[in-house]
Amino acid sequence: MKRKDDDLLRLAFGELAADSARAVEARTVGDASAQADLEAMRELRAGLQRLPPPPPDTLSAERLRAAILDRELRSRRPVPFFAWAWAPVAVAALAAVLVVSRPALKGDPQVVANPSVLAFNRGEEAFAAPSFDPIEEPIVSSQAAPSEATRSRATVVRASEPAAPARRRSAPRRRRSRAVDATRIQVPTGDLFAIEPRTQNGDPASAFTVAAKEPDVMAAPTSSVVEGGPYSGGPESVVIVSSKRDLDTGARAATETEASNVFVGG
Amino acid sequence: MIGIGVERGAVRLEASAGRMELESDAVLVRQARDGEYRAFELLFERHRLLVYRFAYQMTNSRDDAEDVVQEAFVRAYQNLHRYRDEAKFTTWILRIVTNLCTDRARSGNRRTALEQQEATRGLDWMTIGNTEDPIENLEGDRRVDAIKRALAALPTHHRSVIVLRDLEGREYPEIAQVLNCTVGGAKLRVLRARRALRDRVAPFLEEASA
Repeated sequence: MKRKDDDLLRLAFGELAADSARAVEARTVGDASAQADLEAMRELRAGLQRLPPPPPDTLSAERLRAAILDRELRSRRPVPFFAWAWAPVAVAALAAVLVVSRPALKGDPQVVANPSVLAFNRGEEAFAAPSFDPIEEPIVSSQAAPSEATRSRATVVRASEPAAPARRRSAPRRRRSRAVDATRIQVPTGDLFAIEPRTQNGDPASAFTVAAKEPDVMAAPTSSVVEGGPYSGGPESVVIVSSKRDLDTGARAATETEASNVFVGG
Repeated sequence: MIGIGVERGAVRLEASAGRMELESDAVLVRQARDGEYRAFELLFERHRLLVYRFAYQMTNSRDDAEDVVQEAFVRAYQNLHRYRDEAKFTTWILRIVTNLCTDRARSGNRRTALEQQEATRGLDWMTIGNTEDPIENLEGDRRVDAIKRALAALPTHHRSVIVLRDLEGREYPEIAQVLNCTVGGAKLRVLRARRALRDRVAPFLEEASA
């Protein structure tokens, strides 16, 4: 029965060879139901061929291009989730590179001497803190320790205006290696410092070294100020305060003398 | 005798034209592979209607058919490196459309009531008779309506072979390539699909005449 149906279907759709088609048609001559089936299948085929074409489309090359571009962009945009796993590794590698390349951690630790501490941390609390800016002024490191610095005789420097109050602020560690502009070095009035040019490896940034002097004779900064103008070398009195203390009273010895009797200079 | 010679010559010419078209498609595919997008656009313009017609018969909706066609060409462009020159480009693109339609049918778990309504509405403009006799027109429209509904109700694998063979007139070897089977397998599938269609048309015809 199934074979018969299949033959009828093939015959109705014109897929049987000529002799096979004639044989199948001959078999259906005396069979009314077979003829009805064959007729129904032929109508089916005709109905399929009568199906009208689809409505006109609105497709266009531009639309396709936009779709392809959109798909390409979308396929490139997403980052795989596991890619984020590399972020900590990258941060760790960067940190390792920074630690290894830091010179301060290489070899012996560097001893940094603050000249202001060297000069004033000797018990002379009567002295006002000098206007020494650790940021703006060079700091002598172990390579240029005060013991190696060239020393000279004490120099009394007189200025036309009183010393500015000390600006103390804690300098960040990273600024120690800052290049120093020699023209911006401020010498505090009355402070016992000798500033001598030095050259280390021809580097102009390290051309100056500030070294503390032995406080044999110190002059009070205020007494050296002459009202009305700079010091002119006239017969004025100068108070010389000795750094040595009296054994009985503990006070320092002060001697008032004429300015002409005081040796000024190196 | 002369007629046979002419017929054979026409067949030869047709075969040669087909080969030329095949070569031409292959050349365009090669150019598109090399980054010449214009070549792919030419392929699209050349085969757009064929693919759209097939997609429309599979989806019964213009919007869905256009989506399927666009998606098929996008996938074709993205997979040009997988295209083998020995197959026709149309065969390849029809296979992509068939797979897309099958995926849509699976994911959508057949069609919703709205899509069914759209398919039914789509029949309205199709059922305009072209015969003088109004009774015959009515009868023909009824039959076409039943066939259309039966076709839409067929499973995708049956519908695709009916569309390829009986609506698009594709040869069995090409159908076999599209379906990725042998020629004998393609013939068998077509036969089964016709049988299924015949079985489904009968109730619709009865319903329409009742």
